[in-house]
Amino acid sequence: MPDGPKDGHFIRNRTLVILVSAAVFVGAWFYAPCVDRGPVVCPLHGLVGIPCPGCGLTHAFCDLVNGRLSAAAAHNAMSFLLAALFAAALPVAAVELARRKPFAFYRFLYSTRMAWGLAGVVVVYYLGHFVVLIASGRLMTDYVMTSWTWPILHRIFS
Amino acid sequence: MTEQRPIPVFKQDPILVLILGFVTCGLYLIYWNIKMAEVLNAVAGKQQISPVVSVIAGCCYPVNIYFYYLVGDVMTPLGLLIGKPELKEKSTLLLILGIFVPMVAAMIVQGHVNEIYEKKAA
Repeated sequence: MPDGPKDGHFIRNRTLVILVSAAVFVGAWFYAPCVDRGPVVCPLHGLVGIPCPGCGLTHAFCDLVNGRLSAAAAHNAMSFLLAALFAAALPVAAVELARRKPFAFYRFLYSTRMAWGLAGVVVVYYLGHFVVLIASGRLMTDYVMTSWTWPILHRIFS
Repeated sequence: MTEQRPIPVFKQDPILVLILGFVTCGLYLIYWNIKMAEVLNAVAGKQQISPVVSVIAGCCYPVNIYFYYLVGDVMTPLGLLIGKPELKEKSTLLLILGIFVPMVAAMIVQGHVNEIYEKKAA
């Protein structure tokens, strides 16, 4: 069972869900003008120049909040699923907080089988996205050449 | 609501968590998150961490912060289980590491979870 209202963490938990969900959209809106100049924060991208499953989501969310759907899909199509989840989580958590009682309809989120299924989808998407990045040459321009180690390697081997 | 469930065995060398995280381009951390959610839910005696949310946490930084916030909450029962009540003080550390270096946060959690099985075996 998810946290109940008698649980001391209930209010904190739902408040955090609201804050995180709102911060994703508000943050993306404000960050959008300078997203192309933003730092690389993913250790995998920074050190090896290879994207992790979450790489591109910041760009994708900045595109989504500005209505650039195809650009968002090109950066990371999982952003659509995540945006839908955040958009749903915010009002649900707010209503739960107001009535001090959790809903039952999202118990599927506590299913391990569902989690494995979703993990499978993420892996398949990631591998497909990786192939597209290689084929289009974007792996080199968007990831390898923007990694933290690229300037060092470039200096050594050039 | 609390449920008494046996704690699933998920013993792994913390260094291996770091190495596999890198070698698999972060995909291993999604697997690790699901397994750790199972273990920590059993330790907490309730569904503290949603396995589905733990998958999303492996891909999305803000959700990863939320994941480590929930993990931090389980540090109190975990500390009591392994005889280290001071473990609850690591909640904030885990949250900060979860933001900046999730792989290191994962290593710390794995190290403490391993202590459950070591204590049982002793």
